[in-house]
Amino acid sequence: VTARFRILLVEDDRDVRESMRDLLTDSGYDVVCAGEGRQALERLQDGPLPDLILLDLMMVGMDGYQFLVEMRRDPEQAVLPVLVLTAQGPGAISAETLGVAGVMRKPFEFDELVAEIRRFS
Amino acid sequence: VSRHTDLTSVRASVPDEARQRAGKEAPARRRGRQGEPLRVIHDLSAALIAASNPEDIYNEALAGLARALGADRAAVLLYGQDDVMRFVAWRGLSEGYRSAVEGHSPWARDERAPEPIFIRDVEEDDGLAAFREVIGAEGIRALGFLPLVYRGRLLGKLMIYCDAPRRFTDEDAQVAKIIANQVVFAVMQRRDTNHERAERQLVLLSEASRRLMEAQLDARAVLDTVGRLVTERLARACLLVVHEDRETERPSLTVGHDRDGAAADQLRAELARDGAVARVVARGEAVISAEVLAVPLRRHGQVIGVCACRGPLGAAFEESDQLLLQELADRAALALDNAQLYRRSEGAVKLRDDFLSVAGHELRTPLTALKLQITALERVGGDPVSLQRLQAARRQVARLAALTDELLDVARITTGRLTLELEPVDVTTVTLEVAGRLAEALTSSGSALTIEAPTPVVGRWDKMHLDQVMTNLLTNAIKYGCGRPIQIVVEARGAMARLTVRDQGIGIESDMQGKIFERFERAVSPRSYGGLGLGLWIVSQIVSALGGSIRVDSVPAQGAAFTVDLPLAPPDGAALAAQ
Repeated sequence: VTARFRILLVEDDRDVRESMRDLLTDSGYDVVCAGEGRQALERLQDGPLPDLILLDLMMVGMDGYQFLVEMRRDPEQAVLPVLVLTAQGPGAISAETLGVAGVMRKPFEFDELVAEIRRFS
Repeated sequence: VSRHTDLTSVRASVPDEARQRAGKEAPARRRGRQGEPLRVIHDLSAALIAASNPEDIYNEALAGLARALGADRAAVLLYGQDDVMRFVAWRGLSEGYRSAVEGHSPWARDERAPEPIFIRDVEEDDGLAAFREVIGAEGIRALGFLPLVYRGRLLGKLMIYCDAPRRFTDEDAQVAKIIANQVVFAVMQRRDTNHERAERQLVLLSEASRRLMEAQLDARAVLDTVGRLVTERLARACLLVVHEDRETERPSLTVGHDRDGAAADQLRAELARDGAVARVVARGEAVISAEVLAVPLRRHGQVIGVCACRGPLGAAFEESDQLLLQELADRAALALDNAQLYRRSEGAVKLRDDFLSVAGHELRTPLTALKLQITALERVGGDPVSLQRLQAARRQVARLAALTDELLDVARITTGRLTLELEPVDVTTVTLEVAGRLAEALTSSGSALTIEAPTPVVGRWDKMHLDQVMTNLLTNAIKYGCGRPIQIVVEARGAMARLTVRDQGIGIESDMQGKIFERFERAVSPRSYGGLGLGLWIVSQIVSALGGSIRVDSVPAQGAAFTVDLPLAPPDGAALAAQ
């Protein structure tokens, strides 16, 4: 049996997080959730590493920017692909400046998200 | 003979955002990336320190004004020995203009605290009536007078000129003051070297100007600079006290420097004991004895603190030491003023950016949750009526999302925070992408779309904003196209790209054609067609930021054609200072 594609979802809005988790699970993904950066770092420490991290930027607690900094201190975690999902407007945020695999702007269609995730699976 | 032109009515034109009439004036020049004017100030400091002669100082000032305030032209004027203010450096001003206005000034020669004056639109300002013709002939629409003041004395002025009406903000005024202060520093440093003072004092003052220019954007660094200089060259200990000022939000600050360890503390205790600090502050007078010297820190005629020192490096403090210390204190006060202005502009920029960022985040997050919930419900399935209702909900969410983006764009454009990221972009590709995204809307409108884009047309543009231009134009064509065919043409014309979006719909009445690019203007009744009336305004703002132009040709009931001309390479600095 092939292991299912594993996603770490870091998002502080509960409704967004839970609906994404349900939809992604229904689409056949293995989803682990975290409500902010520090919790996400714990998830990375605890379990098997995910195949992809879906990361919100503006979060209460440790935000996405700081999470990226912390995560990159660990050489094993540093190479994990990150897809940023941000509700911030265009401008300063781009995949290049953040050094991540991709950026999607909220609100997005779920199908667009799945299409984007497929790039990594 | 110096002529003091009465510009009393002009004085009412100091920045006042509340009085601006929305939509009538061109928006403030875009500053590009956040904090741009502040970076220019830093660069200007470095350039002025390096300037080796007056011409270099003036030219750096002109360049700094253009970059920080987006002025099209600028000038430096100084009083000559004949008490006439004359042009000493300028950019883009004709000789006729210079000779017509030279010698005139909005402030009297002996005015104590002259303030900057900004004119939003020369044509609407009565204060400049006498010069309206001259200014108009020169092609100037907006201008700013920035006084150069040292120790309460007017030295001259900096002028900025804009070719279009210009709304000056409080931030502009603060940046202008900082630049004027920096120029004063640089000019005074040069003047002092011409004075016949003791070698030691000349070196000290020149050194002070240089170091203060480097330190001047931070209050503590300013006081440290003075303290260090004094203890290096003048006294064993130095104490600087700046009092809190609620009105200007200046916090109180005390900095002590000494050569022997405890001397500054001793000085503090002594000054407190005999009330010297209080005396200096109360009367604004210097205190001098063989061992102790204290002078006031003054700004705009007010005592804001004290600069005191103890233990002369020579035999005893003399009057020349007092004069020197006062000179140092005056420069420090000027630098403190800059530090405060700087902090405020920085705060204003940040506050605005933070608000837009948070507002965007707060509005889009619930939309994301809604969209996902709708998707989840759709997947659960249900009867056809429920699914139909979910589709309606989805459409409404999409509409809210578009309106949110539109409102945030307007906020960004009006506060000058529209950021352009220029990169090679093929407008043909963008057009095809937009058409793909709007395929559903096209289908339901019944309009057939043809795209005539024979070759790639690549220019240096901002992809996302170009996408928005195309999206808004095509959305309008769909909305007002009556289900008839729509045509898009993309073509290269020399150094320009031309995009045309043509529909055969309701068209635009001729009296409305000039207005549709203005904010909130709409050619149709809001009852029959939804929207905020901002789409074309946003388009025209983006197009002009990219150095291009837009026009409409329309016959009512026969359709409309919007034509956008964009230079393949926007003019220099488009990303930094486009209108």
